Amino acid sequence: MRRTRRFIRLYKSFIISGTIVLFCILAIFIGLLPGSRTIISMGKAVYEQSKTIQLLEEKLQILNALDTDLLQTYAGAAISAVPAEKSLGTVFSTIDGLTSKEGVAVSGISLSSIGSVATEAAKKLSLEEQKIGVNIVPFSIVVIGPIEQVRNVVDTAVKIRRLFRIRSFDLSFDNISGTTKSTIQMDAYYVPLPKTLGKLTDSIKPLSEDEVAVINKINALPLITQSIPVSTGSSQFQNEPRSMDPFAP
Amino acid sequence: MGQRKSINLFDTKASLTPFWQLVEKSLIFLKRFLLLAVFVTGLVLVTSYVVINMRKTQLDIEQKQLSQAIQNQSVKEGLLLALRARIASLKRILDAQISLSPYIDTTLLIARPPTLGSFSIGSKNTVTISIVLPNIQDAVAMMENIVMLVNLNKIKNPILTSFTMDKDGIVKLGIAYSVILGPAL
Repeated sequence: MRRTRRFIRLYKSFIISGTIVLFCILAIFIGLLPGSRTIISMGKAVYEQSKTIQLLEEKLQILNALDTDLLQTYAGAAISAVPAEKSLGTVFSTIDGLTSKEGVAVSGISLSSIGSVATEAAKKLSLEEQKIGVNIVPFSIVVIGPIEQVRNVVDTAVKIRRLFRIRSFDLSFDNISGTTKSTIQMDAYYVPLPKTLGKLTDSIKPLSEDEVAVINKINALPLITQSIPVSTGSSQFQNEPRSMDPFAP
Repeated sequence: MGQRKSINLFDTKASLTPFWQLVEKSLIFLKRFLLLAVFVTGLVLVTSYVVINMRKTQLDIEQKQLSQAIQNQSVKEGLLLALRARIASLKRILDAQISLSPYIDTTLLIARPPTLGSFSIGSKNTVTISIVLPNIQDAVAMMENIVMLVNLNKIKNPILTSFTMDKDGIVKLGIAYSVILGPAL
């Protein structure tokens, strides 16, 4: 007992200092280092969040600057040129308007492939569709009339708002009846509306000058049909909770 | 009374050797240094935690408000995104649009119905026409006309695909040629 007391008395300073040093080392490894790591990761998270907020601010600024009425006008023009669905009604009414305008008679109109009436799921994109990146409804019309007027139909068909493409054109002259019969194989286009909006943090850009030029070019094309294609519920955006239909009235 | 005297002849205060005294001094220095370091670092960490946490709370509120504001404009955003996608499609369509009227125009420079029996457009911008002429002189004149159109760069690569003449002297010609097309719009 005396020896112990003597030892403590002799090495008291060592014991106190050693205990404190040990405590400090434990504090460093148990408290300070994990704490530092946590704070560093928190700092990184805050930095990332700051960048996200900056992005959201920019996005909101762009959205605030957008003119909804102008966008709807543009969207209307775009939809009337290339509907969201096959919209065979506008195809037929446009052909009707076009041939009436040019003074030729339509003796027949037919959809050229089964795929043109197939459902979206059943229909696979053709190579041509993949090349242009849009869906095609192939059809053909048989027109009877003077060649000059048929020529005008062919010329005007690719310069109207409901965009068509002429795939091929055949003409034959019947000496007995004296009529010129032309078969025009055409494609009408449609592009389904995008289904999703993407993430809230996805950045957006206002329409570029080139994009506005394209839409102005489309807007300047004459609209021959009175039937305006309207998107339906099937083309609504489907991304919870950000689902909506931008073309809805 | 206050003074306490010891009758012990030995020195009760044991002293350390110089080496251990040096170790003791170093240990005391280390203790002070570590205490200070732990205290200062701890203080810095706690302060940082509080500051970062406050900033995070502030950012959370800000992000929530911005997200809500953007969510309120989701129709506008959707309209913009849908429009942009459609414009890209429109651009591709416009780039692929070609007018076939030059085919007909060049053909009309060669022949018109009823001389022009048939007309068809094939692949690689080729046009195939059949022409019915009352006599060989008209056929020769037609050929000269085609050569002239080639010289005027209206058509290229003309090929006489068929030539028949019946007992009445009526000539039937099959001609193929190519046209260079420009964009429709």
